Amino acid sequence: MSPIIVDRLIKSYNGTLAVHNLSFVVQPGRVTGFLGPNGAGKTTTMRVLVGLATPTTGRATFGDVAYADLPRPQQTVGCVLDASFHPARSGRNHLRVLASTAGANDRRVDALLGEVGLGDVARQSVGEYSMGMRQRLALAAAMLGNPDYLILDEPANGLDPEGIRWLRTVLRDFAASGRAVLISSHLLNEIEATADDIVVINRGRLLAQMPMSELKLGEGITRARVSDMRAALQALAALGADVQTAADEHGAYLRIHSHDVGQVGSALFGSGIVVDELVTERRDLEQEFFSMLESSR
Amino acid sequence: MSGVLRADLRRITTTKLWWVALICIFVLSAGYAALPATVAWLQGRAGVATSPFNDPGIIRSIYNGGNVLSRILAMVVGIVAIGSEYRYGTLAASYLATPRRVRMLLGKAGALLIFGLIYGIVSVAAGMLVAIPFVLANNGSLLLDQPATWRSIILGVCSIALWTMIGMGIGILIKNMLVALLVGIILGFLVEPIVSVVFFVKRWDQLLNLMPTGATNAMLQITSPVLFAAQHPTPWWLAGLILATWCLLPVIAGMLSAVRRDVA
Repeated sequence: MSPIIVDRLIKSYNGTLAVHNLSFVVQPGRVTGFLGPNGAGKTTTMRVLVGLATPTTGRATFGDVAYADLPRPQQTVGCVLDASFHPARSGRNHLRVLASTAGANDRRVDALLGEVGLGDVARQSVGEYSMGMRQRLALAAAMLGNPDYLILDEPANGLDPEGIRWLRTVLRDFAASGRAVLISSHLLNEIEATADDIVVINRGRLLAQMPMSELKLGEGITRARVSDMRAALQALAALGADVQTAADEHGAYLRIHSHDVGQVGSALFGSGIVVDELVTERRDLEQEFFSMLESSR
Repeated sequence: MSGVLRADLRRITTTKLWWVALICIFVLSAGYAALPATVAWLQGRAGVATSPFNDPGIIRSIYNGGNVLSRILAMVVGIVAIGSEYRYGTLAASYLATPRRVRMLLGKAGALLIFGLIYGIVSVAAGMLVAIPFVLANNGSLLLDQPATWRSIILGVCSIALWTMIGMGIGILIKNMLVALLVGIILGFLVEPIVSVVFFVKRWDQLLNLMPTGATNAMLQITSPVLFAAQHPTPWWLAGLILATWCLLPVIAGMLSAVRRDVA
């Protein structure tokens, strides 16, 4: 299976650049999180990728095939862009309309409705659906043709916590079977839990593309408040970790450049030092994201 | 292509409008067919016309009496078929399913033409049902043995189907469905008939023949003055071409504009 390739993509609307010279790659077998603040150009990029908007210059393709040139688009790419439905049509009929061109029959439609948890409301009109139910229906529509690629723009919008967990499993399983997922979301902790790679953009430009593992999110800092700072510094020197003193509104504390809180704790215990507080300040995707945005200004 | 057509047939059958329009067309066509029938009957009683229910022009007028109304409803179905996609934001999903936009729009046009034919058949059938009692009571004939009658019936059905294309064209060109409906109904129900009536009253047959109403009447060889038939109509085939031009121009213009347009 070929990767999704976005190559020097430029899209301008009436002279305003929505996407500026953007290049990145979405590898099969991985979930790629697509991050950026509102208006960064994520949705525009995705819409160009699936042929709903034409690029000003550059290309966005599946392998080297543009969406419009795919012989069987629904069997190749599944999209969740905006959960828009005719309110008077039932969820089941919405899928049946799309099934006509996706090579899916009514049995597949009913099975999918069950899979996404809409079996009981399948024959109700979509106008009566909650936001979360619409998202599930949109995902079912994307899955109709059993595609190789999934393109999801804010799919977690309106999903309850259980739905978000379910979505995460669906996407992980999808990627684990060797297929590619490109997902944009403003829920950074959700991306952190789901994505293998991230692509960060701001104002239409690429800020970073990297595997999540390179962010080394686990490598945090341990914060310790102790009765005797000097004794603690001596005790921790044996660990070989960098230690700094710092202070906040609760007083002075130590910053130890290690996320192994157990090792730090036992070192302090071994020297008979009273510990008031011992926590890991774990770096997360959110901090990384904001520091990337900061450094791009 | 069959999948694209099936998708659009399903788009139409999975909402209510198609059968609401069907019932309206049947009932209103019967009512509108009764109009020329009643006028002919009164003329026959008054001695103005001799045996009007043997007059092919009158009989054809009754069969196609519902045309003026049915074609408006067919147009409405055409407008809504594309307008609702804009209104509810489902056009993106339709294009994703069939990214070749011309193909997707042709599928929609094909599905609309099929429904247009059904509406046409129902409209003419209502007209024929109305004609039967008048013909029986007045010693007339349904003239079903005459090829000209059948040509009029078939062309009547086709003309209604063609009006779905005017609707689809307006629906693409005017993205706001409610505005498109308003424009379509005002043009089809008020402006075009009023202009046609003016031409009819002034006896400007050449201009009247160029209007959709005049072209339809000439094509169906309708002679009833109730339906504003021209005194000197164009040949039926030329009239058919004029009507087809009216119907196909908006939809072709609409398709050309939709093919390149970004979907919001």
